[in-house]
Amino acid sequence: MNKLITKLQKSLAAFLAFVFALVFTTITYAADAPSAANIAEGGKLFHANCATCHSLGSNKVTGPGLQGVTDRVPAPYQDWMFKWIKNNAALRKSGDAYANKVYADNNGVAMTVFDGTLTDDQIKNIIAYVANPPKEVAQTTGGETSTTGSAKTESGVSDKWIVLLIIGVLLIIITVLRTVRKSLLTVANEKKGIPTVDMGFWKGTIHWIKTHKVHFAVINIFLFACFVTYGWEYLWGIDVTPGYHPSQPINFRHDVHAGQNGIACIYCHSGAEKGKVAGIPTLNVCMNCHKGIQGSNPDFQKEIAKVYDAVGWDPQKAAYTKAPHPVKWNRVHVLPDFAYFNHSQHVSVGKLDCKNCHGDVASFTTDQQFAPLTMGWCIDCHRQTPVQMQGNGYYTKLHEALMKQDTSRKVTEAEMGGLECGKCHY
Amino acid sequence: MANQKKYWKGLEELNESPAFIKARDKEFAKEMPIEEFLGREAITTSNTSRRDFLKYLGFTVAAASLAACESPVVKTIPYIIKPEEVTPGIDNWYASTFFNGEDYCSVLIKTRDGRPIKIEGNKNSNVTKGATNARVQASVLSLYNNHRAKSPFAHGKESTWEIVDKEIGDKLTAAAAKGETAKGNIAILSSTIISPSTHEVIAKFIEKYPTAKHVTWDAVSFSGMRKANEMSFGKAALPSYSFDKASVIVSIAADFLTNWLSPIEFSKQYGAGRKVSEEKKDMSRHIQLESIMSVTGANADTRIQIKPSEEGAVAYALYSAVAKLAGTSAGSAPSTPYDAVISKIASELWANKGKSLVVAGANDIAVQSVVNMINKTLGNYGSTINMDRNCNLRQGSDEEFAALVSDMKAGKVDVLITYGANPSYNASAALGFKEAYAKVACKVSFAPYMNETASDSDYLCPDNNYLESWNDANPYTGSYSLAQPAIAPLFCKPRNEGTRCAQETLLKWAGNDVTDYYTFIQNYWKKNVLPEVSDEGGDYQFINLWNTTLQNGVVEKAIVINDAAPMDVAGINISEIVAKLPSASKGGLEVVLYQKTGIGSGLQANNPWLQELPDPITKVTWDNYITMNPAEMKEKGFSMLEEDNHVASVATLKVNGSSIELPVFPQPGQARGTVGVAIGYGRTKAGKVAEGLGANVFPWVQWSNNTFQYYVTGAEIASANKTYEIGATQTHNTMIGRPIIKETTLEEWKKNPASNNEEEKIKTIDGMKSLKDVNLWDDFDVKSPVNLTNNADNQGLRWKMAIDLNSCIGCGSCVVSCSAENNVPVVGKSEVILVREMHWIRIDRYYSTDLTLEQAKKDDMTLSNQQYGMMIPSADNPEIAFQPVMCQHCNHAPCETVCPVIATSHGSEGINQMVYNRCVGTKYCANNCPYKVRRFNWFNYYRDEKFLAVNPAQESNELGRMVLNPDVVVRSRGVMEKCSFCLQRIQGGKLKAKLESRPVKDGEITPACAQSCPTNALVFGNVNDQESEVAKLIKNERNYLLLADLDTQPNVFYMTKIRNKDKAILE
Repeated sequence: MNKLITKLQKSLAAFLAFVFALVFTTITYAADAPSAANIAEGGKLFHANCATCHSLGSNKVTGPGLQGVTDRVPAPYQDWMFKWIKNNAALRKSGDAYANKVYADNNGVAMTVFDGTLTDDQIKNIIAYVANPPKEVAQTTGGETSTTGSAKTESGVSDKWIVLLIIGVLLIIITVLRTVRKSLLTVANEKKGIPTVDMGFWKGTIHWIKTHKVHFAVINIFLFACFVTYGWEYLWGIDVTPGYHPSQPINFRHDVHAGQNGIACIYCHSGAEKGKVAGIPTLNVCMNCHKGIQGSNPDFQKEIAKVYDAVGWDPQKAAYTKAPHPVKWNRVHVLPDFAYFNHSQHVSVGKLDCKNCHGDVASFTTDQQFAPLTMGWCIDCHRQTPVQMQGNGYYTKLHEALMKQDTSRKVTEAEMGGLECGKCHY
Repeated sequence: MANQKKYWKGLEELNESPAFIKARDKEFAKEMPIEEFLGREAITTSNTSRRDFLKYLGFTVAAASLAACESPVVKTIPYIIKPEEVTPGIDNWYASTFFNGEDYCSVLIKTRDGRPIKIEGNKNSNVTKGATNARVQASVLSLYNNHRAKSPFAHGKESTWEIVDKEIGDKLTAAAAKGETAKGNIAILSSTIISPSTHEVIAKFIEKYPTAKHVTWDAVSFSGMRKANEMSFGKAALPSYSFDKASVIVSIAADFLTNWLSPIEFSKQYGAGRKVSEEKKDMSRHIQLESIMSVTGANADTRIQIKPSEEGAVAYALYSAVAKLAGTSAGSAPSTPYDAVISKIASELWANKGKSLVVAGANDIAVQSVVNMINKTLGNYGSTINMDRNCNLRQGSDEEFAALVSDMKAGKVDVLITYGANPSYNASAALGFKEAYAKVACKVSFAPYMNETASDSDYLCPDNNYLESWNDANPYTGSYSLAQPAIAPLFCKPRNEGTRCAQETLLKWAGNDVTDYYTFIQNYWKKNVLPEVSDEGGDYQFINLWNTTLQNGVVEKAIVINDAAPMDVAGINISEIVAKLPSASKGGLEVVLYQKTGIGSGLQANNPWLQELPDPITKVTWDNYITMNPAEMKEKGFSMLEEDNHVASVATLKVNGSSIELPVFPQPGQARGTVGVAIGYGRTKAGKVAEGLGANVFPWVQWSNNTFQYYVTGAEIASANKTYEIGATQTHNTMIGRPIIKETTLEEWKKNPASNNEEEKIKTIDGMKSLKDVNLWDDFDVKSPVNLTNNADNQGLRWKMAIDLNSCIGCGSCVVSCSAENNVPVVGKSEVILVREMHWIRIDRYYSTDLTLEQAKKDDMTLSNQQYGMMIPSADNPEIAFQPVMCQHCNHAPCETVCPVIATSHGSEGINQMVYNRCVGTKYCANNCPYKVRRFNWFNYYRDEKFLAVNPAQESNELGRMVLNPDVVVRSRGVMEKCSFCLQRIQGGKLKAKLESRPVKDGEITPACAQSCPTNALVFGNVNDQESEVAKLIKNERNYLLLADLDTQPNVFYMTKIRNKDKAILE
């Protein structure tokens, strides 16, 4: 219980810290006029227009990193940056020394001219965002999420404790009642004048068994039934591991990618529509986005740096410089070799949503096994799921015949032979 | 009548020896090897008591159940950067070319996640037309051969390419510096090269080192035929043949279905010519004259045994008879014992002139010249033989090779590079190659592994496997094909120094500007093969054309066909040729050096799939042996393999002073006075698999008339008073004389398409009844998967297979193909002896005779005389039939009803499914299977160290297991397995159709056996699709079910064999 309380305290503390930090940031930058809303708006615009070439850190992508940019450009930075973002070519032409220096430092790679694309207010918001990078906020959010995660695991443990506690309390009650009964019996016997024989615990128990054979049998049958039931359950549960979430060499966050950023599953797991395996995305897929996105907080940056390391990318030089090496992921969904499963059959033909078997991945911090992946679970679905016949030329003839017969009839996978051994085992 | 014929699976069954009857009635042919489990030293010497055992057992059970609670962490490693064309779990197919110096085949390579795992025929090819044979099927495993050299070797030690290039380069330069007078002091000795680009590479090499010359030599040579053609037509070339266009085929000892010239192409043609249908009422007639029982001879309608030394006389007699009919003079041929038969054959040929074909296997100039004249007289040139479309296979010249060896002996050769040739192993002893080779100062071998020649050499520069390299081929005039790598070289830096494509090695030594062979081929093709590309913007056009060709694998160029070979038959002095014909031997035993279907000349001797493939005729695996006529064996007192069907007598065979010891195997149909011994065995440096198998008889190849002769006369055979165990699959799983193969003659079939295929009736209390009427079971042949009330039929899939016994030539391509597709383990000889081979498909071979037991009884023979008398005539003239048997997928499957755990069940598509993970190994199903097609996993073949040497898919063998098909599970010990109709292909095909939103097309789903069959004997498809081929075949009156009286209702059906022997030549 204590642990639980500590955890609750911790999350409370974290929440308070978050609120405090929010208030603090707002106060600190209040002088610069832009409101939190402006900064948030600027953030969106920054990611949409600038992030492919600029990072908020010190590293170079295509353009220079923007850490400390407000200090290095000619003061006041707002004015200079506004001109530069709006039309950097014009600014350079006007003979601005710093603008030409920046241009030369970046090997003459010109920045996009945003005049006409972005309004003045939008540019101002972007500058506000760059001046106030969202460090603390992001960190706090990260911290909070992980706290919630561990609290979840904690609650799983406490269930067990509660059961044990109840059993303990029951035992205490039994002992107390037994003692009370014994005392009362002694008192009653004394009153009646019958001498009390104290046989001791074991002898007493044996005596009780001898005199209460039916009770004893009932208790034993009950215990045996419990044993069998739980034993049976336990055996069925061997190697059935829903919730299995191994640690990964790179702490990939599905909640960030699929959840916050709303990236479609198929973007990375492109095999799911085509073939047997959905596929773990290869590092070149990561690099499609992460050439530009280097992480908005140190935790993320650390993980993304692992991707760079594996693929041999040097973010400072914006080039592949080292020999790549593969990432050894820990597999989450492991089907035994003797069961054949094909993703395309279910995703493209059966038109099933990924969520059916993988759960709400968009909310998982580390990917975890959602379904039990037992044969019973497969079979249950095959029994209930209607075959997606409409529009698939493979089923045309059968579909027509069925429509003539009974339009409301849904044919399940099981009726099509989906329960036969040879459909999955060969 | 054919149905009175008695079939038996071997002599022991015919004789019904007591041991055989005992074995036949037992479930397993051998005693259980309990000793093998319990007899291990560790067990007998340990003093573990029963009590201890129980303690350990208890502990183990507890530990195991605890361990089972936690699943292991499984790693998964994606690509770093995904290759564009590879999607995990999806096959890629590449068109390529198989050529190993002997057989040519245009192929498609199936790769999975970058690994080649299966070879199929390429239907685009005009030459092989999608056919393959066992050797091509097995070649994918040779890629993962652990014995391959992983780096170059110099003086017996591992070296680097840099050092090897430098040292050899110096020696080549020094040798070339000797000047023009020393021409020939650098020699490249190769087997046949059909790659035009490689010829160009060698030309470049010779350009750089002008004293170099190129000698081509084949271990099994066609030099005599080339020479004969030079004499007859003025060009030393081989013609192309069309066996499909021939109405009468006469072969004098040419095993054209499995070994002779281009067997893959010829089996495809032969199959087409042998098929009969409603539309095509005729089939070719095939007459074979030969000494050994070859696969081709086994398929012949009429087979006549002759001695190898008589081939010349027979050819001349045939020519003389044909000439007489043609009204030309051919001199009078000396009489042979076969004159009566030969004149019948001649009239048969004459009646079909212009559509007949005579071929001869002898590597003899005179014999081949006579055969040319026969064909010319018959007017076959231009129809069944074509001298304008030349065959580029077997370019070897025996004379040039002999000259090279004598140059070597004289010390005239400084550098010898062997490429594709392995003369230390397979050169005839007559030339004394070994001594000559020792005199060469610098010996270089391009062998892919440390073979016999490479071990005798100073340098080994290992070549890539054909699946790792670019190449091209020009098998026939105008026919070109490309070979492309399906995998990066397995052995390469940084792990090994690596192998290098031989052409690149030569280009490097030649100091060519282009050392990349791929670019070299492209340049060559741009100039010579695809020159129709115009100059302006040519590159774009060329790349387009190149890519198309690469995708198709082949390209055909128009050639000029004159339809006639210029030969002045009348002008040829026949007596000059006849004088050179090999004279009939005066006496002594004649030894035929033949090639077995799997191993051939021994190029892939280290391939366990081929070693375990039972020989189509003898059914022996893993060995070569002396084949001998059983009657003669009886006289000599050799074991007839009756008492114990795998213990053979060992004999000493003596030829010209050298002798070998080999087991003797009774071979009905072997010409008396001859024995056969297969070449390709007795490899000493081929690797673990081939080690210690058989004896090498290549040294016995004779040198006469400037050609190599593959037979020896004057041999002696004597018992060595030893026995030897051979692993034959011959008498396993007998079907006890029931009508298993049904056959009829062409004439009968024309009269009645259902001849000898009358419906079987069952005797009941109400008289004879049809099987349908006494059936207790429900009909399983459902028409639709979903219960439809409006009578809409034919919705579902219903898989069936038709096997045309008329087309099956017994070649074994399907057996190897099945092993590759279904991860079938290789078990090795000792397990084959214990009747534990694992092949899912077997080809049963039945001998037949017209003499029946009744006849013998009529003649009042005693029992033993009866059996003996029955054997002798038929042993000399048996007819052979082949029957592929795999799981019959019975609708009323006896196996399904006896399985206590429902591990085998029936699917709605008609397939008998086997669930390995459910099987507990009671073997009830195998006992109850009337077809004996179920195989039990007695061991963990993939893990047990006992199978380390033979089974490629060993866990510890990271190379060998790359060949496994990831769609099929590797079975573990204690479970039953069997043919699944390639369920993975069916499921895959259906899924493909669903993804493409269309119904399944006929022919797109084909099990491995049917796909690899060179004669299309196996046809698979959905019978509910009325348009499918199998649906048409099931209406054919020739079809019957195996053991139909059991009413198992198999989904596999057979079609009666038809022999074209109406006017029997022998009668």
